[in-house]
Amino acid sequence: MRRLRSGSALTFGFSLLSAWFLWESFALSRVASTVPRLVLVLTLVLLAADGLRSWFHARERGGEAVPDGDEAAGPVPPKVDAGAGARCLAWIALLPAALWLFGLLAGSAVYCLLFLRWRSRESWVFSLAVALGLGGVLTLLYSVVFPAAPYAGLWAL
Amino acid sequence: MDSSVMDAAWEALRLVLSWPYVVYPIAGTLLAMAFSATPGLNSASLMALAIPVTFVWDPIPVMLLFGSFVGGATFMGSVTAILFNIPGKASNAVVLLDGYPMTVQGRAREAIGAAATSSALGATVGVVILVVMLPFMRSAALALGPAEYLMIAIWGLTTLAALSGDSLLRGLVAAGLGFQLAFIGYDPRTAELRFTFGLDYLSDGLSLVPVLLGLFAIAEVIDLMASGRETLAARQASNQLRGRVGHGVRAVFRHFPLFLRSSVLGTVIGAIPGIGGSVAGFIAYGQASQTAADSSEFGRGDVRGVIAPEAANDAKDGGALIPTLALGIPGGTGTALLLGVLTLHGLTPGREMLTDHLVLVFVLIWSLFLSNWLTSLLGIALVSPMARLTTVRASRLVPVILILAAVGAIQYRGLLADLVCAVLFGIVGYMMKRVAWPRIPLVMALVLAPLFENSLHLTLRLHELGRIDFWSRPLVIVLLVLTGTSLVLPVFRARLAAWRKRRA
Repeated sequence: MRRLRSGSALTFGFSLLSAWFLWESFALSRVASTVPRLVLVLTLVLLAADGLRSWFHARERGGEAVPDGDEAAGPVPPKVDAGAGARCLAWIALLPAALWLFGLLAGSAVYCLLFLRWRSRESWVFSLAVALGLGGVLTLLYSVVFPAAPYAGLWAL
Repeated sequence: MDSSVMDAAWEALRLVLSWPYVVYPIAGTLLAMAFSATPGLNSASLMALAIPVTFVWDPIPVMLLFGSFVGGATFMGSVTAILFNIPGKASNAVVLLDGYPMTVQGRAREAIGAAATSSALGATVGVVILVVMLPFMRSAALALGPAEYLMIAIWGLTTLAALSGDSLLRGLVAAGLGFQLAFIGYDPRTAELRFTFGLDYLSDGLSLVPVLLGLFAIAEVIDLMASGRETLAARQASNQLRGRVGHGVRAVFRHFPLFLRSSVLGTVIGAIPGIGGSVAGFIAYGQASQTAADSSEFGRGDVRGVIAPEAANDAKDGGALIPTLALGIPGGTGTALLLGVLTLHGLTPGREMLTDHLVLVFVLIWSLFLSNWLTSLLGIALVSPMARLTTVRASRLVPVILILAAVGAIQYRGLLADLVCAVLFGIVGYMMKRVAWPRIPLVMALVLAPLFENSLHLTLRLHELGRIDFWSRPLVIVLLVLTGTSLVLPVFRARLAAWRKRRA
C-alpha cells in the first residue's frame, strides 16, 4: 500500500508535468512542436494507463498488495517517518546553500564538518580532520588541475 | 595485411615501450582513472585541460597521452557505478543495473573482476577491428545518412524493454519523460526556445551531467540517509565480501559468445559518427537480455548484465577512432577533442594520416590498447580496498559523495544552478527508486532524443523532396530487421517458455 500510494503520487506528478509541457507546446510553431506533442500525448496516455492499472489492482486486492509488475521489485521499502524525511531533505538542501554562501572550497569543508558532527554524530576530531582534508584536496585540485577559479560564494563579494 | 602496416605497427610498439615514452601512457592512464572515478568529471574535461599544456610537445608523446586518456576513462566510471550506484558518465549508467545488486549481495569483487576483464578484452576487440577496418571506413561512413541514424535511434529505443525491469509500462513513461527533458532549449531547426518557462538557465537545455548525478548519486545518498542503512553493502553481507575476482574473470570466458557479440556491437556503434558512446552499453545490455535463454536474473545481479555493457563500452573507443582518423568526423566529445589535438599538431585525418603518419596512428592505437589493460589490471589490484569502501559506515561516506557530486555538477559548466538541478533530480530519482520506477530509460531517452528528432525531420524532409528512398537503402533494411527482432524475440521466447511449461 505504501508503494502503491507513493507510486500514484509519482504518476500524478509526472502527469501534471507532462500536461504543463503539452500546454506550453501550443505556443510553439508547427515544426518545433510536432514531435514534442506526439511524445507528450503518448506519455500522458501511458501515465493514465499506469494510474488506472494501479487503481484496479488496489480495488481487486483491497489495497493490500503492491500492483503487478512491482512485486518482483523487491521488498516494500520501510516507511520513512515524515520528520526524518524532512530532516534528510533539509541536509541535502543545505549543501547548495552552504556552497552559495561560502563558495565551493570553504562551503564544502563547512558542510562536511556540520554533517559529520551533527548528522553522523562523529567526534569533533574526526569531523574536523575529514572536513579539512576534503577542503585541502579540493584546493589542490583547483590550484593545480582545474584552470577555472572555484565558485567563490556570497561571502567573497 | 600489407607489410607497411605491419612495419608501422611494430615501429609504433617499439616507440611506445621505449624510455621515456613509456611514462606517458602510464601517467595518462592514472590521470584518466582519477578523473573518471569522480562523478561528473570525465576524460573530455581532462583532455580539454591537457590541450594547452601539450601544445608545444612533439606529436608522439601527445598521441601517447591522449590515447591513454581515451582508454583509461571508461572503466573507473563503471567501478563507481558497481560499488556505489553512481555512474561516472552516461555510458556507465547501465552497468549499475546488475553491478550494484551484485555489490549489495556482497559480490562486489566478482562484479569488478567481470567488468575489468570485459573492459580489457573488449578494448582489444575494438582495436583489432579498428586496424582491420581503417582502410575501408571511408566508403562505409559515406553510406550513412539520416535514415540510417533514425533507425539506429529507434533500435536503441527498442532496448527499453530490457532496461525497464519488471515494468515495461513505467519504463516507457520514463523514456517519455526523458524525451520531454531533451526537448528543453533551442529547437535545432527553428531556433525557437522550447519549454524553458522563462528561465535563462534552461535556454541551453538540460545538461546530462547534473541529471545523471542527481538521478543516481544524490538519489542513492538520500536513500542511504532515509533508509538508515549502515553500509552500502547489505547489512548481512557487510562483514563478508563474498565472491572473488577470479569468479568474475571466469564468468567472461564462460559467456564468451555474449562478450564477443557485445564487443563487436560496441565497436560498430562507436564507429558511427555522431552517435556518442553512451548508446553502445544500453544496446548491448538490451541485446544480452533479449537474447538470453533465461533473462529472469537480469537487473538482480546477473553477471551477464555487467559483461555485455562493459565489453561494448570499451570496444566502442576503438570503433570511435575509425571515423575520427579516417574521415575527421568525431564520434563524440572525446574524439572531437582528439581531432582538435591532431589539427593543432598539424595532422590532418584522412588519407594523409593513414599513409604519411601511419606510425603516429599506431602509437595512438597502442596507447589506447595499453591504457585499457593497465586500467583493468590496476582495477583488479585495487578491487579489495575499493570493495571495502562499501563496508564503511554510510554516515561517513555520505558527505564525501555529496561533495564530489557537487564538484562534478558545478565544474561542468561553472554554474551553481547545475547543483540545484542535480539536487532536484536527486529527489525525483529517490522517489522513483522507492517505488521501483526504472530510471535508466529516462537517461537513455535523454541521450537518444536529439538524434531521433533531428534524423526524423531530415528523413521526412528528404523523403518529401524525393531525395531518399527508405526501402532501397540496405543498411536501413538491416537495422529494421534488427529492430523488429529486438521487439519480437522476447515476446516469442516468453510464449515458448509458457507453452513448454504448460506441456510439462
